[in-house]
Amino acid sequence: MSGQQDLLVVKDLRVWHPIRKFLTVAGYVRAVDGVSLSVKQGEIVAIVGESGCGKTTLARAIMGLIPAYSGSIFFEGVDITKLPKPTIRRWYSAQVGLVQQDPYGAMPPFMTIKKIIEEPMIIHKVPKEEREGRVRQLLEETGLTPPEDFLHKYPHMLSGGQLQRVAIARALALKPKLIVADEPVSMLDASVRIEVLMMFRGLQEKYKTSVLYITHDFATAKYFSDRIFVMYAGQIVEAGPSRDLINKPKHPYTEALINVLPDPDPGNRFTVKKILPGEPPNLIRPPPGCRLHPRCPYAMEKCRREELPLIELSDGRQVRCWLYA
Amino acid sequence: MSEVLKVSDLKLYYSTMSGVVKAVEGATFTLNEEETIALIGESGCGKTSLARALIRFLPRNVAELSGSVVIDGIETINMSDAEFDEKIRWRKITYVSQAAINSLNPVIKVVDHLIEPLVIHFKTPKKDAVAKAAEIIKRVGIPEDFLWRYPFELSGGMKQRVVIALSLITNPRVVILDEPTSALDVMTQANILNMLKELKDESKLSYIFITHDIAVSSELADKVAVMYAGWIVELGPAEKVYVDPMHPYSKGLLGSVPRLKGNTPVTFIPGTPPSLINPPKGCRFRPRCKYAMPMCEQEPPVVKTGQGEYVRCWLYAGK
Repeated sequence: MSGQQDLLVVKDLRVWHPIRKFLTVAGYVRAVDGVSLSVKQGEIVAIVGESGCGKTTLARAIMGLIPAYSGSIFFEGVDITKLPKPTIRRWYSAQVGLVQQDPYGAMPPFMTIKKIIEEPMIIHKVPKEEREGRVRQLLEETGLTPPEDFLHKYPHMLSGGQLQRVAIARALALKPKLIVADEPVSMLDASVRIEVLMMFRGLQEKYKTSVLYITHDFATAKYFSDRIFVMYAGQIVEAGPSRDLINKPKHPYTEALINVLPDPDPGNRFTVKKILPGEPPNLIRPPPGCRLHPRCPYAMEKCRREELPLIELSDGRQVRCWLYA
Repeated sequence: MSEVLKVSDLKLYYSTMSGVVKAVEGATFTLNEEETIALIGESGCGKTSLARALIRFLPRNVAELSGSVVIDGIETINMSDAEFDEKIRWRKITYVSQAAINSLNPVIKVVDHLIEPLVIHFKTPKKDAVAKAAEIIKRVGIPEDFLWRYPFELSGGMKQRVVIALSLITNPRVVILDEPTSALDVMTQANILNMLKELKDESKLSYIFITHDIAVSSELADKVAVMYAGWIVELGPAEKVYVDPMHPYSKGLLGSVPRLKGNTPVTFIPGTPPSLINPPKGCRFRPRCKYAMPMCEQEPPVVKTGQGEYVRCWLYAGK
């Protein structure tokens, strides 16, 4: 949105989990297989896909939590896959914040809210005088007002929505340049979900933070993100500006996913949804050629044989499909 | 169309250490043959409590259960548990609970799960029960040889199908589906919803469909009951509730659903649902309602808006 510079550039990233048998590696689970993407400064990028498509693995690799098999992840021009672990801990972990899916699991139950938000600042040696004020400011910014009511509470005393606000406050504590939000609102109720996302968006604009929003939910991605990357079986199959991509999906997978998602409409009950047959492939031995071809209604001979790259289309769209080659 | 379920003024209270929880109050609705009612609302609004009161799946700390529940012409509210078990549960009404796919025992074969209710409650000979299981599993779209597999060998979508098959094997009139798709991926969810639509027509079933996902609820609902803090605040046909909801809470709830088509802005309802131990005086939605008036401090009337439709709100009183 604001800046045009790329903050994060992922190039041909592969994250393969080895399958060990005795002392040898018997094969790999290709959880992320050749992903390239970029996040501009101040931009919200959504990664949308079903469970098992590799979106969380991608997020963890970007956070520097799991090693890449090949490829690179440039953060402000520095390839973090080449950095030694201590540097990642000291420098990179202060640049990237994380908001997890389950707010109850993400908070140590024995720490007060104050301590939880303060902890990253203690680790990164923010002086004590600054910390107190910052915690209060963050609580106010995330809508947990008055802060005095929350500072000394424990996580079990808060609702899911309030805890997710604490998680966002904690992620923002060190004013990171990038926040990775892995399904931050999927466990919240409908009305709270929008409230938390709007609050998050407001803060993101204020701090000019970039956000990588990992989700299975196209509908919230449409309202919350600037660009969407659709993942299937470890690969990006389609990318483009959010509204554009949802209004006119190009890849058969995106099209099928969007077609089965209902809007509240009394007519829905008289229709039968068109679904893709089968299930996502095994990532140990993915199908040759296009990974969707066994399920794709448009599959051609070429799709079964040849793998293809993301094809650049006009107006900032990309798609990995022979129909557009 | 004949009526298979009639609930009037159902009340369910739980007693807890901190007081009496008024989980469901004054719930009234009817359900016809081949009809689906969706219970929608946020977590803690009493959807599941209401459903569990109908099938008597209740914890021990029930303080009060009153009103009237007529299932297929039989009044059940005063039945003992033994009588309910013998006459109603499995025979007339079944329940697919929220975590049902995890309730299958991983080391008991699918077939043994399926025949259990027939063998135990209907004293069906095992051979006949297995034949019935084979028939039912094909109807939910699973090949027959899966009967001899173990639940851990099945995917999430298949387990959900098995659980639905289990709820159908005794030919009930009413099936309660409590969040049947919330743990599944969107494609699998659509698949299960398609199947539920088919089954309903084939077997003349009635569903009570509980979900917090308003968009998904519209996939099955003929009528919709919007619940808030233990009350059904609005009950009406799908054509009305999804398109032009009346109650301020229903409006807020539908407004908070992000839409894929069109560019309707999304909104949210400020505040949080009240405690059910000490609910606010008068209308329970009053503290969050933008239309709140002084009158709302008194209990709102149930305003009839059509045949079997109502809204519980002062805005519509006297109209």
